[in-house]
Amino acid sequence: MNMDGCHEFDGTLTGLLTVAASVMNSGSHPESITVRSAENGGAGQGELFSARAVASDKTLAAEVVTRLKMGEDKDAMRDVQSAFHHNHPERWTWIVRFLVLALREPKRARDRRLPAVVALRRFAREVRQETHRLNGLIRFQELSDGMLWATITPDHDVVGLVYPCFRRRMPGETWAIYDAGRGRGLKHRPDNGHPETVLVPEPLRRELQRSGELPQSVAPSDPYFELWRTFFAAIAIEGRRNPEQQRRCMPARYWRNLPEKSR
Amino acid sequence: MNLQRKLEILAGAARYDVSCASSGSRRTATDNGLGAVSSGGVCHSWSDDGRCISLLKILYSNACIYDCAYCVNRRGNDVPRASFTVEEVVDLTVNFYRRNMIEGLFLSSGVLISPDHTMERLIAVVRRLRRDHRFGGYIHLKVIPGASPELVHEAALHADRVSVNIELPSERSLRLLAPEKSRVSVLEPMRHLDHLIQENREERRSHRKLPALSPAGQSTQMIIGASPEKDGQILRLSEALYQKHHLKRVYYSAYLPVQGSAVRIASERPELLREHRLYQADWLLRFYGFDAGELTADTTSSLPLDVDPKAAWALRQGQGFPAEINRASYEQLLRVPGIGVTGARRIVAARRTGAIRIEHVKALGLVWKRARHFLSFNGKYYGLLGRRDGVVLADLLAAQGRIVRELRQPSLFSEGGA
Repeated sequence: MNMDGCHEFDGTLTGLLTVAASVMNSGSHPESITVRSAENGGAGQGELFSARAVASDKTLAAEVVTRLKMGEDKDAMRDVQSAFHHNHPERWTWIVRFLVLALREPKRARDRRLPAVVALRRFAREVRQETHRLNGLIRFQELSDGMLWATITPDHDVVGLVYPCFRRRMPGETWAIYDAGRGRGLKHRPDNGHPETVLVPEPLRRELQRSGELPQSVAPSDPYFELWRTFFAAIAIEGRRNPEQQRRCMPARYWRNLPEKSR
Repeated sequence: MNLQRKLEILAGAARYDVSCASSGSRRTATDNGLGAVSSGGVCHSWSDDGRCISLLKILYSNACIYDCAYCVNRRGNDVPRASFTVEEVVDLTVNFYRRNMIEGLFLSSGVLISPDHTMERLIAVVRRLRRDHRFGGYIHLKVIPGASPELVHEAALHADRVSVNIELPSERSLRLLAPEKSRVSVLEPMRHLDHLIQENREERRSHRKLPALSPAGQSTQMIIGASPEKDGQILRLSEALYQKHHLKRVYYSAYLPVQGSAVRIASERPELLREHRLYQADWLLRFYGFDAGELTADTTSSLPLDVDPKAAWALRQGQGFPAEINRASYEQLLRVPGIGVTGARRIVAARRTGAIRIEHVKALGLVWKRARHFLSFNGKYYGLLGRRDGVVLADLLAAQGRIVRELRQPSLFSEGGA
């Protein structure tokens, strides 16, 4: 069966892997297909043509994972999982093209002369870099009830990816990380091994998206923020000021949620 | 004196110790504990001088009985003095950690009464963190030169990394500028720590549950430009420290005349470009298989400032270049300017499925402006080797990167004061 053209999946990783399995089994050339998610309705591609909806199939998806892990490239599945969280509008297409390539010609899965390999590695790297960067740049403040709260505004959908780092660091504390741009967050409680979804009421959601700040009644000013600002200012060597280097390592788009840079 | 003022003084006093890493160790928090460590380390912020901040870097006290000429905290200098209490340091560490501002604590101190008295204060802080608060985050503890072996041992038991600063690259300079410290008082704790760390590693091979002693090893720091030693001597000293005492890192810090400094030998400006070349040479020693003798002819030679040490070495080679990208070994590829550790690995991986041609260079992540002179592609060559003398060097200088261009700008040095 010819699988050329645009495919639509349900927005889950299982669904995307199913698309890859279908293309693989049909023998279609990966360059001839594009993929979009039903969730965000096209994002600019395939609008002129109707898309073929592909239903999620756990068995097919699991087969893809097994075959991928059998290949030479042990990082391929991990990279696919990372790239899945990227914000590029055509990420689905590139992930499927890579999967089809990696399954048909395992030896070429690391060949950087191929555009699909370059795209996938780049997406995976950027998601992991943002995750790693946020592991450092996330700042918690203590709320009036003792819970720790952090607001983030990442490029990519990484809340789920930063969660494990903080569960490792602070298993005994209650804390939440909230993505103000996407309006969703995850919460950890010491007596619960699984993350809970954080929902905030609508006016608060809009306020967080606008300013990133919680109201004073819930989050009175934290004395350790002031102490941190003092430390931050004192630690720099005046004769070696380097604002360009600072910006390169810590881009200004993250400063809104950093006490040392937001005042 | 309130906590904020103490922190301002004691963080400012600690800023000239450039070691900042939170890497080299791994630990997960216990259920009722706080703090984990990841082997790669984490940068939490970048200060206004462009340096990564990953630890709460402070002195316990900046009072000091010594009078080392290069140090802002020396006895004879008129600066505001302060001391923390053990509880204050513990409180700051725990609360900054919970807010994800730090990976842990870097604790040093001026010498109060005696090296042992000072070590006892530092150990009291880290003992309370580890035992009372079950703190599992990163701890880098300074060892005071002259401290007794039992205290050095206990410090290493609680820390992820320890360091004792060699400060000056020769005994002669140490005698002139820091007469109260001796070479022995610095090297003896280093030897002792090396012995303890190696012994602990051996024991943990058969007893896996044994607690690790300073798992991220030890490091040290040298001041560059406060004394007359040349790069050749400095690099040979670093090489010996890496090989004989198994140090993890040597840090190089360009001397900045500080308020009240008594150093007489010092260039007008901090030698930032020289410091950069030393770090590049240090990387070549640790990751690229070079010897100090290949980078500097003898102890009196200096690294060239205008070009990086790897390119300088490559230009000095009569033969061996251009290297054939499709056949050279991994070790040979590492020696090509413009090819780093990642690039060499990618070349070896890509070679397995087909010949590498010039159009693949960008995807492989090579710095073509530099590498083009030193590589051939199945015989095809695109560089300038073999033409008249100096042509390749001129081309490399014209292609210089941003970091070196910035370090050369006089405007960076003329800014002073807060």
